[in-house]
Amino acid sequence: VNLLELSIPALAKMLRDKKISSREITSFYLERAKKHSKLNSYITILEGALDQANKIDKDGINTGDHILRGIPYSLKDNMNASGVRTTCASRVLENYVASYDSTVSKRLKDSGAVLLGKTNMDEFAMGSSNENSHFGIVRNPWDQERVPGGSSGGSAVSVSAGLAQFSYGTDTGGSVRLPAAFNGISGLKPTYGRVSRYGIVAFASSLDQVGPMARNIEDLAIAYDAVAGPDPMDTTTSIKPQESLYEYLSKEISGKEASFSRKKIGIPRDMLKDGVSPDVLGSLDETKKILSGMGFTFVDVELPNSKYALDVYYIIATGEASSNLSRYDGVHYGYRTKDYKDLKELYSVSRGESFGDEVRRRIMLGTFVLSAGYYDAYFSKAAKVRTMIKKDFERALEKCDSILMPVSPVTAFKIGEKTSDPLTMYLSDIFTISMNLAAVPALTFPSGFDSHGLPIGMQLAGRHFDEKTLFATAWMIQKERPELFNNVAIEKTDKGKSR
Amino acid sequence: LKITNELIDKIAVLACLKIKDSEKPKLSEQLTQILGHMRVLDEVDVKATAPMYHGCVEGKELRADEVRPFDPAPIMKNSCSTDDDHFAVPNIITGDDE
Repeated sequence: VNLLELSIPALAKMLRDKKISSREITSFYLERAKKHSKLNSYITILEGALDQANKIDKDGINTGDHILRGIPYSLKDNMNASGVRTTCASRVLENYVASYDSTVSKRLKDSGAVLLGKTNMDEFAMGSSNENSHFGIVRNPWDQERVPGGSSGGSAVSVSAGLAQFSYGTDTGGSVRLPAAFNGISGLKPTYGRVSRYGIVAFASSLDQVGPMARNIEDLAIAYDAVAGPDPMDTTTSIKPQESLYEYLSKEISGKEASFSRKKIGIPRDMLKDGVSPDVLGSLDETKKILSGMGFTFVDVELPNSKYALDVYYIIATGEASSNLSRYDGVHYGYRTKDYKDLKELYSVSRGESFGDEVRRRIMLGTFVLSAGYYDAYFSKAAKVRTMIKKDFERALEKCDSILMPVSPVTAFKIGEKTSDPLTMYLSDIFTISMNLAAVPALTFPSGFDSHGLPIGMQLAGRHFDEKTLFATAWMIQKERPELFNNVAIEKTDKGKSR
Repeated sequence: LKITNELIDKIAVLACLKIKDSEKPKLSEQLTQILGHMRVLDEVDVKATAPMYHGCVEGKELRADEVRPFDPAPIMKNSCSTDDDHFAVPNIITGDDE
């Protein structure tokens, strides 16, 4: 049996039937992670994962146990797992060892899921290509000369190359969805407030959300269920109870697809006029055809202020980041320079020497937009336009149940192609950032391949806290077109399929 | 708006971030370009619009303000200079003050 073809429910059944052990699954993924180290998707691989798996096998896995018990996963390296390094792919935190678990880690630990390691990312989650890591660039397994997308590039590659069963990233402006799309896997940016950020390194606090990444929709739902819901340790989490989406899909939707009534989908036609590659537009049409065949209907919607989203985002995100990153002072933790005269220099030189170019650029931008004399014209103005962007979504989603659009205007680009021009790089996020600004959920799923054999991803955005509609719609697409899902890049490219 | 070297110096002080002289020309060019792009927001009329400073949509709750004990040892281990239970920094009292 090829483990890479199995979903979490299938693995869970085998574990319960004693047809496989957690140790076998864990060592399978660890071996693969080491074999494909050239992809550079992991910063830290935890050999101790085998001990955890052994213990689980010894204690047994029973019917009533959590479905994730004994299943291995990876975690983006900006989320604390007690006793393990959290580097944020930065020189600043190169040797930082977490002294406590993030709520995400804690919940996964309680479920019995096995942590394989911490994944590479853009430094402090700032980037769209995973080229900004102190630990080196991550390579896209579909074409190793190309970027995996960022900032959760390592997490995406660990899933798409079959180096973990599932993973978690963070999405501040598209950092789960863009790499998921560039890697041909699924990912979710939940509604703001749905997943706790306790123990997760803050980038832009009004935008950051943790999201799962997986090769199929049931795994994605299970991974999401395991971490979502209220948390007293994070006051920004909603107290709205969280229901199991996997149960919803497997009990209320499965076999009853025809009776699913939330089938009106909005298309933001104006946003798709310029700069979208013909292959991506073709894939959007193909997705619409699949959905039409299942009784979905389409309506044009307008998101007129989304044309300002990029600028609003880079003002708000950098402003918040400049404040959040002021904690790296070389004193309490993190890198400290040897070259200083006094305390002030200790701070500024430590920071100057240890932050990478992109992080320093964003701290400077953020400090500027918050500074006296410029605050009103930049930060305050952006916060107001953000309200308009959110209202656009609310208005559009009164006309439809979800909004469908590509994740990115293009597929994975070449390594180095955009590094010299930050503004061009920022444009990679053009379709993803407005959902973060509007705080709405968005789910991305694979929709096909371009003429180079590179994956294309679509995303569905929904109303606040209505992840259900997005999951149900994606689940139906998967049932209709299973070949789009569960693809493992390396196996495909090795065989020369789809190239 | 042109981001001059003087403005870079001013922002760098506010950000407590050492920027080398050799980096300034490129940084000022990039910041000028990015901030220039952002001026597109000038065309938006926001007179009747309230700002959105956070993403919370509904249902927030604060937990009770209770002290939770913790072990400082693993936290102190992450600092490169400590003195017992304290973080150590360079002397900030000069000879004149003594």
